[in-house]
Parts: sequence; structure tokens; C-alpha cells
Amino acid sequence: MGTSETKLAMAEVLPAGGVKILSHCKIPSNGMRKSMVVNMQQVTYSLRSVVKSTEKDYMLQPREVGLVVSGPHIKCYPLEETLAVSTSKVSEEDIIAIEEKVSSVPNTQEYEVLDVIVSKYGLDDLNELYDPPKDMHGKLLRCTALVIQAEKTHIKNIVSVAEEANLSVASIFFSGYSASVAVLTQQQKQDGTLVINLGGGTTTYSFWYKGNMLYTNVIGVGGDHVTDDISYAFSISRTQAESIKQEYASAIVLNTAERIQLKGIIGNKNATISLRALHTVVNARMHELFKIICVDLDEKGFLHNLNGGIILTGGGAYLKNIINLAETVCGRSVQLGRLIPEIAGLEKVEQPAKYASVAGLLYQMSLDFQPKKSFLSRVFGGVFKK
Amino acid sequence: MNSAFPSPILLLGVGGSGCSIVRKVKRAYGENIRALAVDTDAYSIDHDEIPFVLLGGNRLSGRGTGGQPSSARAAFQDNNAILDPYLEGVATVVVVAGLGSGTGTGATGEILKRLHTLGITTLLFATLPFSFEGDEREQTAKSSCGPLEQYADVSVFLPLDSLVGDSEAQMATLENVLATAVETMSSGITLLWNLVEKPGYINISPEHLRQILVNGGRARFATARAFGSERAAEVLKVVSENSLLKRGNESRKIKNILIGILAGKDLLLSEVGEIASSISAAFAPEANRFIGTVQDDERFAGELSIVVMLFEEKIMSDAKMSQTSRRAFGNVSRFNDVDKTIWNGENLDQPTYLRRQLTLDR
Repeated sequence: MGTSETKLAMAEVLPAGGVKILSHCKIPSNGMRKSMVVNMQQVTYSLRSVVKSTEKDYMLQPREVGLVVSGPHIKCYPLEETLAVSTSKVSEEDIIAIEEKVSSVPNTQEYEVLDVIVSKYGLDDLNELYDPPKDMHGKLLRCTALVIQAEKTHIKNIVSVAEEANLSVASIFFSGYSASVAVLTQQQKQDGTLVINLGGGTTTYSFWYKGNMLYTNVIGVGGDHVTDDISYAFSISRTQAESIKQEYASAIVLNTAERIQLKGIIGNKNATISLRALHTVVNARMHELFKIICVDLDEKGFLHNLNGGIILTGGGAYLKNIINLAETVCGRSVQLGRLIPEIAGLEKVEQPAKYASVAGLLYQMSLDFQPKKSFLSRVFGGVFKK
Repeated sequence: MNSAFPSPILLLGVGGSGCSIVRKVKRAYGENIRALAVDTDAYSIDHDEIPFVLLGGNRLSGRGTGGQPSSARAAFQDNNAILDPYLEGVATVVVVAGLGSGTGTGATGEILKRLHTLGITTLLFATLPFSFEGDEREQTAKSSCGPLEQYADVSVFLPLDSLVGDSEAQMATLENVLATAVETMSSGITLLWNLVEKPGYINISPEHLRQILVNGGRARFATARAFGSERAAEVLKVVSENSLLKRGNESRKIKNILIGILAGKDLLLSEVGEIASSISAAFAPEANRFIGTVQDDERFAGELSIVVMLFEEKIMSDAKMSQTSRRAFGNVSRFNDVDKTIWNGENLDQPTYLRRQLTLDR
């Protein structure tokens, strides 16, 4: 349930691993702001409509769903736990024990833990071990994880909406994680890659390094802001601003004297606006957004490891010249997100990077059907604990 | 202080521990200090001292929040203009709160938000719970830091553990540990108050402080005190070993240093020079240095106290811009049904081109 679109997709789990998406429907959302519910009735209506069109177009009946959530109320912080090694070297049991310890972060009165993602280990004076130090000699084992938490009230609202639409909620996943798993190859997860999901109400970015997500953040700025800026700058309605954005907006200011004819203006039939002015408004917003992301990553100490490039997903990734702008601001190579081969079925869909979070959600849920790995799964939680 | 022009700087205590620190400062400072205590618990009213505002009168009936930050938040939201009558002529508010419990954690954010909308500059001193207080409190405190930082111009987070020395903590009773922490905090703030409110040869006025604060970001804070002929060297030793000044974001540069030197009339020029240059050299030689001195024989005879604040660099810091944008474009945003998106003091819900003052081809 995004701020600009509500999407519903269903998939089958392939025997060899991966998913094949069988149905995908989307309709414009109402009642969401910055990825949070502000009007229950409107959001419920959007969700019911998208369920109906799935039933009608694909003859499929969703009953149990996974939800992708985002919003500026979602925060992440690193958590370290320590464990005295039971014998002289680290056993599998020790690793399971410390992972269990780190994953049992309690919910607080206000925050719900969405995910606990193990990022690295330490053993005595060794730091930054990205693989479990099994069979290594040492005394004190450390494990660092990234805890992702969300404000309970917002999660409850979105769950209530699903329940109102007669869907039972099986899992809740954070969009920053889902969008990443949908587009990142194993190599990119290793290399230090940033996934920026440019949503309608919020922008979520997640940094991956040595196979794990090490940092993520949500900014309450999205495509809605661009629309609003245009609407304010040229004193036009949000609907007009949205259609101008879709048709003419560019993230880079192009040197042009062209003017755009405004449609649907009451009174003055010849009203026009400068294309250059439009670009200036959009460029200022997107430039600021990328700058904030880079500054934040730099402050958190991740920018120097960002060597695998930047991947853009979400509706904003299709804004004209956005890749050039992101490359200029961040000084890294930038590409549009492509779904990984394990996610099939969306090959013919237009603008597939818009589906990254929802496709990633299905892929993550499919992993529950796979045989368990020897160690605990590296991602804990995910499932909503009511 | 001339009563015709009340001080432009207000000390505001929020919640039980915030209020008790503010009261201590008031007692230690001795004179009229512009201060205000805010709590949800009517138990903390103290008629003799400073003005008190009870939050959530109807909702909580003066019985406190029972440790629930959300109740305190709601209590302030019930009447978010409740503090406005106390803010006349105030340009800067120093907010003191203890994080981890109900009122300090919940109401502080709402209060900062209100002050922010009124265009008032804020400096937040927030204590983080002792480690023995348990994970739940620590989590509650930690999760509130981010939102608080969004609304405070400058924030200083002080873990209570670090306010009590290791040797003291080993020996002390619980009551003593708490008292020591409150004492350390309040004496630090008292020194800061002396520095900005008392005229000195080298002056730091409330307006100087405000100018430094509008740059935003995080700050680190420490104080030290010594007597005798080696006092300058002693305070420098204490300060250079202070863990509070070392912690913080390594990657972020120190942009401004505020040094307050408070002593009797016997303060030597060489002492001022030695302290100023050594602190700069120890922490950030290239940072801007703001020095203030207070000489007061009544209060500081024979002693030498220093206050050090290190202000971390705020990137994209266009302080003037964020000030004007905050006022001039106050009502432009159309995202009023949800919390504003604030980044480094700027309201990102307002169009960027307006905040950057870009002219558009018409």
C-alpha cells in the first residue's frame, strides 16, 4: 500500500527456487501520506478495489497476504551482543546461541521490531568478520545486527486496513529490504551497493556490503513532494501538476526556451509555463534528496565502501535524467533496478522497477518454503508478532 | 538582569529528572534565573522556586504517565500552546530532560517541535539512563534520540553512566549515584548560565550562544574545576581525559568550539591563553573558537572552572537560510496531516526551490 499506488501481486513458488509472479494489479492510492495511513476508509477502499480486480482479471483469490511497509517512523540501529565461547573454539551451537541472543530484541512500548539482520561477527581482537567464525579459536564471540523498528501505531493501522479488506496478514516486511532483494545480485550485495527506492511518499535507501544490509533509512520525501512543488510553483492543481510531471519533468535542467501549454485551466486557454522553470523546480528537489542521502551515508561511515554503485527502484526511478543527476551528485555509477532472474513473470510489464518492493516481498516469502540452511536463517523476524 | 528586558534565554526542565536538574541550577546560580519546570506529575510542584506547568491536567489528573512516553506526548498535544505565555521575548531555550521514562522521553519531542514552529532556537541536554536501569529504558531512550535531534537545533546526549566516575560508582549507594549525576549536570549548566548571563572581559552573550546554535547538529559538553597555582594545567588534564568530549561521530568534524573560563579576579592572561590554545589543539585546531570569561570574586574566588562545548559540523549548514525559511514559508507545506520532514533544521515539505531562493523563468 504505497502513497501513490496500491499494488497486489501473487506468485507461485518454483520447485527449483525463486518465484513466478502470476498476477499483478495496481490502482492509484488514496488516504496515504508519506507511506502512512491518514484515512482508513480510503485506503481500505483502494485495497478492496485491487483485490477485486485481481479476482476479476486473474481468477485468483488472495486470502493471506504479506505487507510491505515504509515510512519515516521506521528507524534502524546496530546492536551488539557478546557470548563467552563454550569450549576453546567456536561451535555451531555458539553461533546459533549468539544469533538467537541478538535476534531476541524486545519490542518497546512504542516500537515494534520488524527485522533483525545479522551483519558481522567479532572474536576477541578480530573485528569485522562477515562470516560466522566457526571452528576458530577464541574466548569472546561478538555478533552485530541491524535492528529495524517501526512505530506500533502505524503498523497497526496498516494491518487493520488489510483486515478490513478481509485479508489476513501473514508477514510484514520493510520495503528497504524487499526492494533490495528484488534487484541485487549476490555480487552486488558483496561489493558495497546502495539501493534507493524512490517512492511516492517516502524515499528509502539501504546499503549492502559483504553480503548483508548494514544500514537503511527512510526520508519522508517522495514523488508527492515533486508534484507539490510543481503545483505550488505554477499555481496549478495537484492533478495538473502530476500530469505535467509525468509528461515533461526532468531531473536535470535542460537548456531550452520551450513553453508548455497547460490543459484544463479555467479561463485562460493559452496559459503556458516555462519548461526550464519546471526543470529547475524538479532538479532542486531531487538534487537535495540525493545530497541528503550521500551526506547521511558519509556521516555513518559507509560512503567510502560504496563501490558497487547505486541502484534506483520505485516510481521515481523513471523520472527523466534521474540517473544522470544521481551520478553527478553521488559520484558513483547509477543504474535502474532490474529484477533478479529468480523473480519471473514481470518481463513484459512496463516500468518493472516500480514493482521491486512487492516482487522482493514475494521472493522473501518464498524462502520460507525452501529447506532450512544449517545455520539459522540470517534474517530474523519479518513475521509480524501480534 | 534588568527586569524591563527579561533574559532572552530560558532554562526549561521536562519531566522528573529534567525539573530536578533545573531546580538545582536555580539554587546554585542563586539569582533570578529565567526558568520553567514542566511535568505530568503534580507531585513535582514546588511553590517556592520556579514557575511550574502541569501537562495533561484532564488526561492524567496530575498523576504522571506511569512511564508511558505516548501519554506524555498526547498530554502536550492536548494543548500545545500551553508554554507560549512563558516564551515572551525568548530567543533561545535550553531544554533539560532525562530520557528513558515517560514525560522526559515523550513530551520533550513535542515541546521542541512547538519551539521550532515558533522560530525559537533550542539547545537540548538529554541524559540517557544508567545501564543498570535495564534494556527497556535504554531502548526507549535510544529510539527517542533521532526524533529529538530532528527538532532541536543542537542536542547534547549525556549517558548518566559517564557522569559518574568509575571509582565513585563502585563505592556509592544508589541514591548517591543519582545525586552525583544530577549534581554534575546541574553544575555544568550553572557554569554555562554564568558564562552567558554575566558580563566578562571577553563576553559570550545569549545572542552569541544563539548564533552558534543555529548552525545545528550535535554537541559534546564537559566541565572541569581546579584550585591553586597549577589549576590551568589541572583543568586541561581533566578535560582532555573526559570521555564525553571524545565520544561522538568520528567522521564529523568539530566546527565550533565554545570555551568558557570562569574564575576570580586573579585570572591570569597566561591561563586564558594556555586553556584556549590547548583545547583547540587537543580537539580541533581548525575549528572556530569562541571564548568567554567571567570574573567574579564572590563566586569563583581562587578557583578556575571551565566549560567546553564542541559543536560537530552540520553539513549543508546554511543556518541563515533555515532560519528565514522556517519563518517566511511557514504555511507553504501541504503535508500538514503528518509530521513534517525536518532535515538539519529545514522543513523539507516546503519546495526546495523556495528554500534555495531560486528564481524561475516566468
